[in-house]
Amino acid sequence: MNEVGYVLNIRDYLITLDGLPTVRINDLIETQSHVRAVISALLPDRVEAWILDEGTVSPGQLFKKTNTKLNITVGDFLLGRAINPIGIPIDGKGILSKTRGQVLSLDQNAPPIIKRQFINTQLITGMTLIDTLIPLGKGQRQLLLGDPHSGKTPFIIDLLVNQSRLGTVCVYTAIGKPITAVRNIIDTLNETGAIKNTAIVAASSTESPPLIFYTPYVGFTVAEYFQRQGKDVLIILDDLGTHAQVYRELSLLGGRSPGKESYPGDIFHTHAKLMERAGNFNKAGGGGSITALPVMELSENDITGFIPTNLMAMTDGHLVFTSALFAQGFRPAADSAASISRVGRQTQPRLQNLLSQAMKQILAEASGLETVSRFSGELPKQTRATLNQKEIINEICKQEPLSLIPPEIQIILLGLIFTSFLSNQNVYFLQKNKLKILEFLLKESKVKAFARSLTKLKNLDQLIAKLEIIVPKLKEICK
Amino acid sequence: MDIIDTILTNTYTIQDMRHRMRILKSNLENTLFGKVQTEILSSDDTIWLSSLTLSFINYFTKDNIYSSFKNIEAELKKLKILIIYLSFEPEQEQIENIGKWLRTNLTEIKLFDIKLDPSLLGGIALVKNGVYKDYSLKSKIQEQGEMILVEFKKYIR
Amino acid sequence: MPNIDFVSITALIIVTISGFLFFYLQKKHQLPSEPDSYQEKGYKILQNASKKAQAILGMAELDAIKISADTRFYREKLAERFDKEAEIASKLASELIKLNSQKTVDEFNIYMNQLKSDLEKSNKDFTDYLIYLKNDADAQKNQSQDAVKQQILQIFVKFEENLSQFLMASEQRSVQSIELELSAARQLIETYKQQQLKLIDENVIAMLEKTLSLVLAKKMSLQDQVDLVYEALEKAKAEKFII
Repeated sequence: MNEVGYVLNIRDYLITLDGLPTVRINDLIETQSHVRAVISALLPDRVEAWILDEGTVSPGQLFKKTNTKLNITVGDFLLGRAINPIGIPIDGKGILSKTRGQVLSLDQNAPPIIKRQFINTQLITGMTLIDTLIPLGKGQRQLLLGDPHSGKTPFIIDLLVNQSRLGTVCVYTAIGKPITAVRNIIDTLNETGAIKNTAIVAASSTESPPLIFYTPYVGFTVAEYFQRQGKDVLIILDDLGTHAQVYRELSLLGGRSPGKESYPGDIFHTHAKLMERAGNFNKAGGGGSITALPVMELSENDITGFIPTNLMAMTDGHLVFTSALFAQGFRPAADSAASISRVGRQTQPRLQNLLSQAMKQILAEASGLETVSRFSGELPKQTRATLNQKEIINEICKQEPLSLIPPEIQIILLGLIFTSFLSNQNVYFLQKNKLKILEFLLKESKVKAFARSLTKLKNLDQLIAKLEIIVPKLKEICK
Repeated sequence: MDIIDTILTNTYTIQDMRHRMRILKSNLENTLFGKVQTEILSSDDTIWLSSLTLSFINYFTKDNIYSSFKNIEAELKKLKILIIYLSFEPEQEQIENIGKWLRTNLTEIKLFDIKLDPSLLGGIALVKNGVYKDYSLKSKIQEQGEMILVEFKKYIR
Repeated sequence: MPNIDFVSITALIIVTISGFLFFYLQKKHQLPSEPDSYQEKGYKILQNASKKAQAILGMAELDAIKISADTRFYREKLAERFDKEAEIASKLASELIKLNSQKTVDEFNIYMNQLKSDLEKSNKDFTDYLIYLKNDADAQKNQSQDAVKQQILQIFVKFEENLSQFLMASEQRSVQSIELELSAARQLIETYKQQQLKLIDENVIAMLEKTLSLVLAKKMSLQDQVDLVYEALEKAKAEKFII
């Protein structure tokens, strides 16, 4: 007993069929020549479907009901490969294994509360600015907002490279990006060797909209496969703004009523359902964690748009990238005052917490004093000292691309601001010598043991006192 | 409806139905509004047109021609159609025979549609209300694959 | 003696000074009204005074001479006595010193001798001790050498045992794992064989279908086809698929 339907109406990739009496939304139907379509709407006497595969469909063509929903074959072989949303590899490295994989449905429900647990481990990005001031936790959803050319993609590449060194599984989903951008990312990851821990799911802007629409679902399904093995997974959705636009196109073409900014009424639900699949899971849920970093490209730094505010409401914090900071040479170009991480604080070790509070205080004071400093000529000593400290903090937070600074070394770097080494130096000194200092801190073997001993300290004063020990050596290096 | 029933007495497939509707309409238009364009009809069509009774044709006047045809269309849409997949292209005679068989043996189905599918090696496949049922030779072979294989294996030396 | 002279001299001086003073004062404070009576009185008094003074002086001189004689006498006596005592004392002292020195020299000699004898004794003891130590050390060395040799022998024996045990165990384990691998490989081969056989079966059926499709389309007569059609229709009606 099999159900069939005949095509009545074709509009590019949206087809209307009759028949198919017991079919449901998100079911798959296919023709004799295995062109698949997914049901998107059910009307009293007809059925609407989106065509997924390449192939011509003509009116009157027969579509059979397959008894499956949209699914993808996942397995360990996906690490190091790039696939498109229907599972076909696009990186030219040969076909994927069919036998060793599991077939998982794309549209899974988010795990319930009993399968989750408290987020208590920090996701170490290796970047001083993020790890100290805006820390991320494993299982957090953090939105990356920014203008075009504000350094989001370099940040993502740095993050992926650093995570591959730390052993986290990464899934990068490119949603509607130009083919050249996707190719660029694959090549960069290949060169840095980060590809071995990364699975890429890419639908370029030339693919059909239904395929682009399902890309984040594929990404999350792959991430869930690895998470259920107990691993920590980082998934980056680049970017959800394009996803929303594609969904808007599909809905308007399908005749749905437009809502705010012509987006369909269920755009929030569509994104929220995705975001809820991330989190930190206990043994009942398979262990492991999925950290989701959706990306949203803004226009003219306007975070009050419809989709950005939606995404901010369904994530645990956001990082705001500005092209102004990028142009001033900040890498990553994240505005620490406008960015927030609601879950990261509980994962940070106590010492870094204290450091970050001290930093934020200095930055806040300095930003208040900056407007004054522009108007008055001669500033009092305290003001100059605070402004100087702020400049030094900013200089320390600028980081070379593809560099990983472990958290212990970050503590040393930031603690040095309060020691005699940097407290009476200005920013140019630090600019000249930063590379030397970093090399010393990263390469010297005694520094590692010293750094580990620092993490056991309880307050900032102890830290500063202990750091004075290495100050003479640093002074020597910087001559 | 009477009109449909009259037409249906001779028509069995939906394609024929639509075809006859079209030529009927154009013919009526020609008679009622004057000859605008002549089209060349096949012999079958002329026979059928001439078989229509005068009373039938007189039913259509200038006023009700279009509304009646709209009604006919609506009625047609409600009819349940059986789609039959054959493995060969049948002749008109066969089609009529099948139609007659359906009329006599079944109550629901008045019209059917013939589609061609050579991969059904023999026999038919039926689609009714969107449900597909395969009564062809191909499906028989699939079902009885085991037995066939057993038969083959007898020949393995 | 000088003291006594001094005393007498001072007494003399005091008296004369007092006399003069008195005279001077009287002269100074002479009243003009009765100069003679008072002058006579004064000269009388002076005379009395000088007489008395002279008497005292004479007494004093006598006393002084007496005392000086006494003192000279006692001094000579004292000197004699002193000399005597001194002689005795010096004699005693010299005897004592002689005795003491003799005693100390004797004692010193005794101690020296004792010291010598002690030294000799301790020397001897020391050499004895050294010899004893040497013997002891030699004995210990031999003992420890023997013990070490024993231990090494033991270790070798144990080592050989362990090695043989280990080799046996590892042999067993490797044999086991090889067997496991073998059985796993055999399983794989079996499953592969089954899979391939299934595939072949499916292929056979597919070939049959293809052949039939080519043949029946050309060879099956129209009547047969039509018969099949009616048969199928009847079947559908029987299954109530179409009514």
